[in-house]
Formats: sequence, C-alpha cells, structure tokens
Amino acid sequence: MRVVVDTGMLVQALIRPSGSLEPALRRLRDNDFTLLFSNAWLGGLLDILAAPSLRQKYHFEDSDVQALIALLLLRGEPVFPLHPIAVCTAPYENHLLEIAVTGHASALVTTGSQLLRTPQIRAYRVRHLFQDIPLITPAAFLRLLG
Amino acid sequence: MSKPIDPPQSPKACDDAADRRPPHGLERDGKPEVVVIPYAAHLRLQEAQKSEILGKFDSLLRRLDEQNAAYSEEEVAADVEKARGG
Repeated sequence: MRVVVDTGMLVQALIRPSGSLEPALRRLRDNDFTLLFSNAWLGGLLDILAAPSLRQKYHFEDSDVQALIALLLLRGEPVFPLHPIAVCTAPYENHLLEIAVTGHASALVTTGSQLLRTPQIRAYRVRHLFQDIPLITPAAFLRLLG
Repeated sequence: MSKPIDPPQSPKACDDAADRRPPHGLERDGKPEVVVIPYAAHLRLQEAQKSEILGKFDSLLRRLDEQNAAYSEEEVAADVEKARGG
C-alpha cells in the first residue's frame, strides 16, 4: 500500500508512542506500507520537529529526529510532484494531494478538515476521493492496515 | 587500500574484484571515492545499516513512550498543531 500521511499525525505518533496513532509508525517500521514523501513534505516535518516548545516539553533532540528521518528514508519513497494542485485553501493540504497523485497513492491519511470540505473532493458514501485516491482519517487508515 | 583502477568490465575483472583483500578502491584527484566490494558484502552492509536504523528507532519509541505517557493525545495534538502554525 502506497500512502501519504499528514506530518502532524506522524509527529503525534512519535511523541506519544502508546497513543492511538502509534500503530501507524510501528507498521511503517515493519514495512507494512510505503510512505510517499516529497522534499517539501520532509521540510515541513522537520519544521514541526524543530519547534522548541515540542522539544522541551516532549523530550526529543536532534539525534531522535535523525532516527525518525532514517526510518522514513528506509521505508519511504520520494516523489517529485510536477503539477501544482490548488483545490484547497491550505497550501500544505494541496501539496499532500500533489504527492498522492504523483506517487499513485492508495490513500491519503489526513486529519485536515479543510481538505475534506473542499468541493473537488468527492464524498462517496463514507469515503472522500480526489482523482480516485481515498482521503481517509487516521482511524480508518489503522483499520485498513488491520 | 585505494588505488586508481579501471572499472571492472569482464567476468575475470569481477572475480578479481570479489577476491581482492583489501577491496579495490577508486580515486578521483588522488582521493579515495569508490570502493569495489563483493555484492554479498554489500548486502551484509545494507542489512547491518537497516538493523541499526530499526534498532535506534525502537529505542526512540521506547524512551518517548516512557517520558510522554502522562500527556493526553488531545494535548499532544494541540501542541503539534500549534507548532505547525495552525
């Protein structure tokens, strides 16, 4: 399964490994899905992980970030979006769609409410689709992984 | 270890490279740049690197799990969103 994951979800799973999102990181570690990422996606992730407020409160440092990035590079696949997508008001969420489309993703895992409210995202029964790529919540993703 | 050589192109060159102890080195401008090693050794190195990455990641999760267990998921989510500028 080829998946784009919201960076915020990944950081939450890292900070609180016993939380409900933890299985996503564990399953990535076990190579149960391929994480699609771009340079900008990685940059965004690093920006969050560089926040002093998070580092101080949740006890992580540069070497921890390196350990996470090493895992992402091991289990992930870089994609290089060429065609900008602008269907959502949030540039970050447009970029998630660009990665998903370029990388032929099986799913985009997002908590982004803006994205799910975008008119171009078709609501199909309980799923939301963008160019036939399902946009799913973290909980749905974990159910999908089984 | 490093000596300028031509890239191995024949089966014999491959045999020589595979048997060579220490391995062949290729230089650029007098500085070592590439080492030719047997493919099996390359696979062993890759496996060792993978194990090291997974081991460090497992340690990281264990430590953060212990240190951050007291925080609720809602609190973490709010802090992450704030750090993202949301």
